[in-house]
Amino acid sequence: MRCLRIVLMFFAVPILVAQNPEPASVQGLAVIAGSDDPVSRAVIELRRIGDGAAEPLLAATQSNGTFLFRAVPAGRYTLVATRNGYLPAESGQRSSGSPGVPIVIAAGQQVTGIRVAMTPTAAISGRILDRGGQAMPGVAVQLLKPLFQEGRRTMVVMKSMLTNDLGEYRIFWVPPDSYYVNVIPPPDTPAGGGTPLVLSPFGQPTGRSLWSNQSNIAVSPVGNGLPETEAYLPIFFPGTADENAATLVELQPGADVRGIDIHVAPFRASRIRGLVLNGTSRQPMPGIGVQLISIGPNPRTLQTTSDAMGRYAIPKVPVGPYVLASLAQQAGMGRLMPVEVRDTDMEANIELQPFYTVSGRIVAPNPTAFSVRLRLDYGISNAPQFNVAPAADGSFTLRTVPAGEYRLYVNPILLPQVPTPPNAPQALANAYVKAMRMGDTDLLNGRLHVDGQPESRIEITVATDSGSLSGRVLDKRQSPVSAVNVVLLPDVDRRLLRTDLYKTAITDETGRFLMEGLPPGDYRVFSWENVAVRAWQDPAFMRAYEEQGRAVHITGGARQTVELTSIP
Amino acid sequence: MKPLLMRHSAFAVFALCAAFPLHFLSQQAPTASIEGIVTKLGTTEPIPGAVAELSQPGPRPGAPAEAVKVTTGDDGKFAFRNLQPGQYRLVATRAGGIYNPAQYGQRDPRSPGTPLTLSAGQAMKDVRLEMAATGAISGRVYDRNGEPVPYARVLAMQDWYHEGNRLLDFVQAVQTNDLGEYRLFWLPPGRYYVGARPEDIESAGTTTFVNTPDRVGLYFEEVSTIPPLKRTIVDNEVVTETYQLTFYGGQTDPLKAQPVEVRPGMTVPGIDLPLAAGTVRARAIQGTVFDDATGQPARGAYVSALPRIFMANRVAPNATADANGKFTIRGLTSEAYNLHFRTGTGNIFGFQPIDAGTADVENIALVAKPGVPINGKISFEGRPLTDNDPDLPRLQVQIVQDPGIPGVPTPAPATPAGDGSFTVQNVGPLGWDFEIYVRGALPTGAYVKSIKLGTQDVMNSKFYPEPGDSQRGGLHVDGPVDRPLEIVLGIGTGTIDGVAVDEKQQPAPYRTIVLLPDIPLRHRFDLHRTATSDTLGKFRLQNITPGSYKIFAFDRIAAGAWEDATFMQGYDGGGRSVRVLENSKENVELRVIP
Repeated sequence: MRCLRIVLMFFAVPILVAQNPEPASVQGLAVIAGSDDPVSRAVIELRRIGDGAAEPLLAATQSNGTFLFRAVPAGRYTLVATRNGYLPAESGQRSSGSPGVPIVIAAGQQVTGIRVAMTPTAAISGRILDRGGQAMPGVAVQLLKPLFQEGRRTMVVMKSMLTNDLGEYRIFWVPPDSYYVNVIPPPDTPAGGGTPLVLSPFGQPTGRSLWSNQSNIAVSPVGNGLPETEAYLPIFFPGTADENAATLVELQPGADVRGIDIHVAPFRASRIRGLVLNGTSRQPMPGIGVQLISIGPNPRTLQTTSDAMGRYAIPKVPVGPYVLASLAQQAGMGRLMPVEVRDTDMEANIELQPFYTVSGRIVAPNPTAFSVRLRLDYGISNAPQFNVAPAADGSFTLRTVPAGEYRLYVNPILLPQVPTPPNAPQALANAYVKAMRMGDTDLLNGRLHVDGQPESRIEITVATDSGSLSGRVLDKRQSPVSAVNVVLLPDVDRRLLRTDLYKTAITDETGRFLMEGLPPGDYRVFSWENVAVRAWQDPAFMRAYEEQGRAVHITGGARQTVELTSIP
Repeated sequence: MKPLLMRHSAFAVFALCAAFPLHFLSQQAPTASIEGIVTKLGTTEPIPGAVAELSQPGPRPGAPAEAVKVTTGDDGKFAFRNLQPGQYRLVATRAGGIYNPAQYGQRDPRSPGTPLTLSAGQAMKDVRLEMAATGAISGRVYDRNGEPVPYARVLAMQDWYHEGNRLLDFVQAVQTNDLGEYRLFWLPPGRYYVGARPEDIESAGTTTFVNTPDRVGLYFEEVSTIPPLKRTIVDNEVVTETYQLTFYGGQTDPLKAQPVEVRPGMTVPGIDLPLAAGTVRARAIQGTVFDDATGQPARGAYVSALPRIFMANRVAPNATADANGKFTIRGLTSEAYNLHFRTGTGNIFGFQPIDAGTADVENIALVAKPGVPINGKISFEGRPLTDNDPDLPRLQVQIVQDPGIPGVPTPAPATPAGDGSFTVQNVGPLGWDFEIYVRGALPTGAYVKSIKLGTQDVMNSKFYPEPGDSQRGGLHVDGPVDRPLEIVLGIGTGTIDGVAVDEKQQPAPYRTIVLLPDIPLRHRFDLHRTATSDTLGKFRLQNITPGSYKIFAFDRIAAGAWEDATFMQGYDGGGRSVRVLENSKENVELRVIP
């Protein structure tokens, strides 16, 4: 009997394998980046590529950092590790934030030795104090990164936190990097009577409803208690309102940087006032909205409305550069004027000018697939913009354009790069703006200056013969480099204004990449093994690498091929 | 004898005022003034930079108050001059939240103030407004392994009473940092309950909700984003968990939460919150929504799971049904829920109770139905029936869900015709309870005398069968309503004037006066009236529906505590019975309950 059983078992095993191949397994280790120290209690997620709906497989790391997935069906997978206090890490990543490399698992394969390097986040803390050394509660403290946008340096808020009643803040789980620290003091005007103070640098998030049974209240809540002649400005560490004098704070992986205290003193503030006038009839205009928008990385807007006599007044304006804007759509007039507020009260009459009419034509296979956008070119966020959809013959007319400096865009193929380039629909993948002119003025590589009724029309030419660039990235030892950024930048002359021409790609497992839909012209192409996202938008950063790029000329309708050496 | 004399003299003043029209006084009378000082509570220390605000009620009820403001100097003093005689409210605040506002006539930092009355030419001096410094509560939030919990929302909550139920609303909400630390601040002195619930890190952002100390009103929040699902490791296995609000003391039951007493200017440290008790395996509900009208699955229907127990911070996971009417809601705790659903148009809806439990709920079928119309008639008692009573079309009849359901529209109010007939359309969801309101331009002294559905009393009846649920009048709608809703209005509400006195028969100012209907109608919270006695201990209660009442003067009482039957059991003997007849004016002298 025993003999028979053994024989049967031998028969059974091969049959089983043939019908239902032994499932694969994946074994690996999570370590702290740059070391062999294990990360325990990390959650490892194994997600099958192209199967987004399915629940990923999950495992946890042991105290020695190891993890094991059993019964893994064959396929291509991404493997991501997460844990409180660490940046998410993907297997095959060169550094945190750079792309990972998929794991290909064959049926029955025992995959071992997968290593995920996890970068610990950093924390920064300190106190915000007023000029008397008293705690400033309820102020937002922000970590900022510089960013180049349309040739201008701006700042982007990466993380933000509020101080408590002791003026203390602690910003945590910060990706290691260098940051500017910025304090936004409490608003000057108290919230309206009865409004609870929701202290959030981002406002009330969606999905959270606040309910209350009443709102009757006899008193006004918190203001900052400053007199008329003073106002707060955002202050950068170590204590300056001038962003150029701000000091970068470096946060190493796992760092807990304490004592980043900032003293916030109010600034001399002035009153700006005057009349809103009809520039043609010189009559005062009542009930017209007036906005004062600060120019800088954190634009602030102060606003009011002209009274029955056409007067407006904005108190407590900190010194600095502003745009004074008044658009009276119904009256068909408007004005945008730069003003410099100094430490004395100032008079500024706003003479509204009639809106101008800007017209033109877009030459394209299907003009109605596009819209034309004029955007005011001031260094302010949410700059006013005017959109128009062309008629079937490509003609368009914008009737309410106030005097000012503009950039011209063609939606969806030529758009401001804020903060990441938008994607054009597939049907327009090969379309690009070949030329934009008004008379002799090149509007594609320049700006539109409107200070009177334009005499000529805008001519926009859209072409569809875009080129492409393919290639391979090799390291110094001539081995292909996978999962690195390849960055295509226009030649230096056009680099500040033509951020729309910036293109990026990531190399595959064989070090190859492909970029399509490229407008013909001269470019330089770069590939870094380690680079911070969008660092190439900073001209100072690029100066150090310009020579390591490869010049390429993209020709319409053709594919160029290059072989690049990665920049370590 | 003395109180009696005072009452007489008070009447004399009242008569005088009535004799001279108000505008005559305001034009001719010499102006009055108020001088005073703002100090730190319990000290003579002046508070500079405080804003004293003197306000008069607006010209119409509900209109914003007209106010004059002055800021105190280093000596903390303030003065208002050239004032017209009349009633004013006086409040002191200070920017920044470190002081609790002080109101004239307040007996402690949380009690209501009273108006002050200025007579012609009066110079009121040495008014003192004492501001209490606010306090703080700090501590740590940690999980069952003792590890800090970052991004947990920590709430400071206070008691309030809603129709007899003790509930918690929140005063402040902050988030823990990576060390699990939190600090609740600017808290007016008082008793708080502290609770925490981790939030979904992706959608949490950094919202801190800080009520300035001068807030009035109750706040609660509902989170309808992704529920805080967390994958954690239990016995080397990854499980998905979610959280209930966990209170200081480790409880999830708000009624068993341990209070924290905050004294003026003090920080209470070490209020640590272990989340183990509130950490539960997340359960899911999966099913299909059908449209009753077509019998077909309701594509794109919205389904939301509302916890049945009311919380200051409740998480309502939700989902939208796919093309086949199928939906899955994840992230439910083991609490009991009501599943509310509605089709894309929003007018076809329903609800389904989900019992407390831990298992997933699968293949549940939800049938959305339109609401039903309710016809009715409204009339004035004793007024002859006509086809065009001018007063009736100025009224509005509202039938609203009780309790209200977020996201579900309340039926539109109906305007009666001249003969008093009305129809309220789309009353739903079926199976729910409803309250009936009469609003609009009610004639002076009007009150709702009775509401009947056929012969059934739906104003005074008690339809809630379960103990612990509130008991009061209302309408339960299960399906088509074939009987008319008959509303009768009476004219002639009563008034009670009175004086509160202490055990030595001295006038007792600033006491809380509460008028409650006799026990069988105690659940009619709309009949409750409250007031605060003024500087002479006097008070007036108006617009009282005729009936039998008990009236109380409390030395100190939490707002709304009188709605709690259990709380009131100990005090019923301390009240005085009053019977209010149509148009009657009653006078009472009340001993304060210590």
